[in-house]
Amino acid sequence: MVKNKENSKLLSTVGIVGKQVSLIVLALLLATVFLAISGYEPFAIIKGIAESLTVDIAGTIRWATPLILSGLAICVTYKAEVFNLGVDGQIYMGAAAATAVAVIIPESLNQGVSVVVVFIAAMAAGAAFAMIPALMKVYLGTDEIVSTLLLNFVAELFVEYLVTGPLKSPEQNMNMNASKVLNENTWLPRISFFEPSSANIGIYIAIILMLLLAFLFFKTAFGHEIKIVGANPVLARYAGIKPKKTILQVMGLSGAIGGIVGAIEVTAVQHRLLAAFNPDFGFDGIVVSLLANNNPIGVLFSGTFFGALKNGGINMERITDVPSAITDIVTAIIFITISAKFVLPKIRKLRIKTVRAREGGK
Amino acid sequence: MSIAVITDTLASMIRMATPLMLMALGGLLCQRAGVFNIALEGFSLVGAFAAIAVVQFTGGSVWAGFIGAMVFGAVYSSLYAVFVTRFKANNIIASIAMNMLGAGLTSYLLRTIFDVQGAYSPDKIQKLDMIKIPIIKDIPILSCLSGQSIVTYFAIALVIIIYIMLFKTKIGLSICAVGESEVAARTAGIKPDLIKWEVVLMSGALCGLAGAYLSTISVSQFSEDMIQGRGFNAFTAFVFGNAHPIFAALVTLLFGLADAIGIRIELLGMNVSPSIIKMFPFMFAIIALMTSSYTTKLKKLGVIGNKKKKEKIA
Repeated sequence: MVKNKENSKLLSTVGIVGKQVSLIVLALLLATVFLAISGYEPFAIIKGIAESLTVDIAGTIRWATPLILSGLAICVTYKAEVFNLGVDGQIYMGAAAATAVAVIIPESLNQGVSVVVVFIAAMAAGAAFAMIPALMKVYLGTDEIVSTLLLNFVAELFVEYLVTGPLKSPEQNMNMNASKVLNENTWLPRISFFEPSSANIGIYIAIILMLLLAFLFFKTAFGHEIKIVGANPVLARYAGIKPKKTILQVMGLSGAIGGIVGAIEVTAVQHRLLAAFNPDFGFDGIVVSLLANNNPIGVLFSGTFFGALKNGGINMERITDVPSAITDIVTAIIFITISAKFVLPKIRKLRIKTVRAREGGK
Repeated sequence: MSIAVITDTLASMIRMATPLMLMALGGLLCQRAGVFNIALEGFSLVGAFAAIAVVQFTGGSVWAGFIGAMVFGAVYSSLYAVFVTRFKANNIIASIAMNMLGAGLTSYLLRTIFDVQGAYSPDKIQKLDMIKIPIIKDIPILSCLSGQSIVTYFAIALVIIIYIMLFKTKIGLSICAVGESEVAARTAGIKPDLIKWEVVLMSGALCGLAGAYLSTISVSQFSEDMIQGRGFNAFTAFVFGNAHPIFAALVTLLFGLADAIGIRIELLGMNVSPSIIKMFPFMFAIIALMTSSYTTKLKKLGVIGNKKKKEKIA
């Protein structure tokens, strides 16, 4: 019996991975057809990904870092059946807090200390911003899906306000909305091996966080609580778990991870706060997490894939004239086809039921 | 404040509310049929693009643009309908994906068809004349109703048409029945999937028109970020309006007012950052959302309202 269970677990893992890979292949095929119809080089996107995974790993790491982290931010809440669609807003708020703190930090302060301070500020801001929809959900019963979506716009506009107002760069003749360049002691170091690319040690943060979350999910009581709350809040209450508390915790955790993404973008990639710097990492994070079946370890792989995809698209646009928007199309196709997978468990359940009914009839 | 200023603000309120009204009507039809549709944003973006593309290729005809936007909006929404009905996709994920696909597709086509990035204005566009209503246009304050575009009047008429359709006809009854309980509806001989197809296509066409309004009437160009969260605001509007066409339309007017006040503040030259002003509708939406969810919660607990038990259909 136990062996059977293990076998089926392995089989289902293989099945899931196989299905996700086939989704990716399908999406890439569709994109290739799309490119061919519009008269571009059909294999541009596939070539782009191949190059990203071989020659230009630096670029892939640059993009994979925020995507993996956003994916982790999503998978934390998704397990508890909370849809945090506001990771983008939390990224903006994290970046804003990181910048606000970084400009105050004196130039003489040790780099390690300042970076840690900046990151703590970003995490606190991200978590605090995620608390707004979480508290609304817990105390008012507000649907977090819409509230987080709306708060994204508030956060984006808030950053726009900061870089055109209080944090505006004193430089003249600058035709972009940005803060001043931060002092070097607040920069998160880049990986020197990959210079001059902006691949940074944020990837290590992402990997460490991934391991921590995997431990949290699979080895601690808290991870179990999250799962129970997600599966059945009523049962959770019977088991002595407070679903409200768990929801607040996962949202806070998710927001803090979002804040880290913002801080990395500011302190390692841009070195300044830019208006609308975030190309919807939060939404991409949903696909990253879903493709990994909301498993933190899987997020590392799917995040890397989407990083390679994004980097490949950008490279292709630079070299050939293929619009990089094609990568958004690929992402969206994977996204929508993944959503269809929810039919499978239901069918299986139904089949089991009918089989049981038939057997019972005998 | 002088009467002229009030009239002006109200007129711009109606102008800003028109696309929201159309989107909200489409959204509430879906809501009534139990389809959670937050893809209004993506549908509208596709509509806005289709309108400009059709205007360009028909030599400036805005009317053709409207029709094109509605057709392409509906065609685009049919993809969502397929996933919702045939593949029983998670509505939330599918609609977020539709938003993303809409953004990617329009940006891609903008490059491919017009070879520009970011924004495109057609070479020629025959702007529609605003309609002046006799008598009303001379009454102070009420004159804000006059001088609007044809789409606005169409949207207002549609509010009433959809109200009648939802509550007085068999189709409306079937839509609500599917939303209440699919199993019961099926027992009564209604095809839930067919109903879902209908409402999603309708919402696609309505959002398409809303997008066309934004790209051909509000401005004369398509830009990649032109919907700017209006779809989500429209969603909030009908949630706040309890998925009732008339209430939802009134709520969209409030959203329009939030926009109009922002414009007024900017015109007055008060020293408020435009970014803060742009936040108004979203802030308003969040407050509306909180209020509506709180009242629903109280109703469920039996604190206020009639104690008719409303079972939530998940």
